[in-house]
Amino acid sequence: MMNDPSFVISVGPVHPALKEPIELVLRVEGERIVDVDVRCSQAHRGIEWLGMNRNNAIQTIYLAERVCGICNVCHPYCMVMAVEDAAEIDVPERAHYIRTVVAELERIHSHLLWAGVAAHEIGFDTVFHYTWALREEIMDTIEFVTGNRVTKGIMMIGGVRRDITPERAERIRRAMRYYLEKFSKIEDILLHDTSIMMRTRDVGILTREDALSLCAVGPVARASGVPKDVRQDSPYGAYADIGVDAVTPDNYTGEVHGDVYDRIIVRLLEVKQSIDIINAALDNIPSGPILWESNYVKLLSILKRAEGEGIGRVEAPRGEDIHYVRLEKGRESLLSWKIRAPTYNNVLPWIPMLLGAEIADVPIVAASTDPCMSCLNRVTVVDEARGNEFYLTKEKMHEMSILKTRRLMRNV
Amino acid sequence: MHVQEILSKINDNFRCEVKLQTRAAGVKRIERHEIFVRIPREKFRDFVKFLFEIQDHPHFSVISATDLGDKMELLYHFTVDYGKRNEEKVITVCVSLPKDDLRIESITDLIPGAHISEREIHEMVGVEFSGLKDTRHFFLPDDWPDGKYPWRRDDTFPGEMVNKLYETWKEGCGDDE
Repeated sequence: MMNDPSFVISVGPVHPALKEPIELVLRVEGERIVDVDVRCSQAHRGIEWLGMNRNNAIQTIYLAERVCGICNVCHPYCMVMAVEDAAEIDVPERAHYIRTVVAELERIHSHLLWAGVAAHEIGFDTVFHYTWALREEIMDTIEFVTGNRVTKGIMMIGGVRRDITPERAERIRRAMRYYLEKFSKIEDILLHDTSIMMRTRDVGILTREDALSLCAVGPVARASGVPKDVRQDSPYGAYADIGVDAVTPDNYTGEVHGDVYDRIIVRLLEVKQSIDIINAALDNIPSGPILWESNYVKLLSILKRAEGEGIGRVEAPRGEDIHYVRLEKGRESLLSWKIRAPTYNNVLPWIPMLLGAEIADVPIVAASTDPCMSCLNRVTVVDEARGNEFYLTKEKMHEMSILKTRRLMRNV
Repeated sequence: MHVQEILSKINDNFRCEVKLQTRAAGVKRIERHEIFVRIPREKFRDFVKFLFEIQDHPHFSVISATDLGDKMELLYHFTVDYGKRNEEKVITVCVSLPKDDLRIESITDLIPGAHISEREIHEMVGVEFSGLKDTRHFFLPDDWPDGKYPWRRDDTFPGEMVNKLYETWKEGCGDDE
């Protein structure tokens, strides 16, 4: 006989969405989660260190681009903003608009990618394939506009490296028309489907109070009714001209639950918002230069002589991204560089979201904050009282999630 | 609260160095404000409490650290007045700590969201946060050697590990020797 009915389950740690892998240690009683601990101590790549010691400021842009495979616009965007802030570089207006368009293209592709992953986590693979097929259009557009499908390589200190020509603008407009046509179908699938509703409504709730005190950011905070969006609060780039309002679920349903379903609403409405922003930016893009200084050798020497500190803040698809940079006269690399990716702040909110949930809900709840889910590849279940240890694989956990969906469907 | 009002409140309540950086965006040149406050360690907690007067829940972003030789500078990045269009201000609170006495009070009781960041600075820089209950490693592995701090520019920096990284990267280097 066991006195303590609880088990410890560790979920993770391999987790490439963050710049660090992440591990969830869950204490469960039966199916219910009673305690949660989060651990990231697996592999820190030391990107900040490289930017502070090995590379010069321009090379560091490309390091920043590789912080995250999906957010490869917002990190370099943040980093160049911080350097421009520190060195007092004034970016040409046209470059502001191009940056905004590229950042919004990234948001559309990231939110569609997430919608597919979320559907997959609850065993709805037709939606997974459908949304990822839709996402191809935006990937092709990104490739056409920037020359690269994944890492765009478009940011430069003082502007952007490539212009949006009329031909490229037309390609973007075509993609926007495509998504507007498809939008009602995606909306219908994700927001009005019974099984999605059952698996996500009132699951993984984050209250407004918890979102505020744990400093949640991005769609996670907004879904809990905190209208926080860097594009709205302290606009940068072309957002200042266009005017952005934070999307909260009450815009759609008139109420805020702070659950997984609300996070779906927020991300979906943000896709539509991004389409509007891109169209507005393309309509009003001013002409002129796209770089403050096109001679990079000269730019480097200016940066080497600059002294100061700056902050770059960007609303990444996952929330507020912030970089702090400090420049020292005579130093080629940055004296100080701190990256804070949005998921960093969205890790602590996992704890209140998962408490009281079932193991089968872990995939969808964890995925609802939009990290990469390969952390579920290896799950160890330790029966402390008996000293036994066995493994729960990602596949097994995924299967449990699907079975839960089927179980719920039978009762409809 | 208007940025000038915040600045005058800071000047009234705290004797410290304040710097305002204003940057404009877009064709409309809409301004955003960053306030840098350099404050002594003793006054730091009072300042964080003061931020609650501006907004119920000041948003805590992260702590950055800069090694300046004999001292370590911690920068706490907060934002206030978020949720309103064009109103948000970034307030960065800088505290200089002497290298031989890297101690500061924890703010996790005021802002629970600062938990991860304090643990990070604890392991990367070696700052002791009084009041921080959980001081386990967060980003570094559990078997990380004591007294080695990757974000410092002094003897405690684990330089030998960086060299090893390079050797493993060079193809065949380890086998030939």
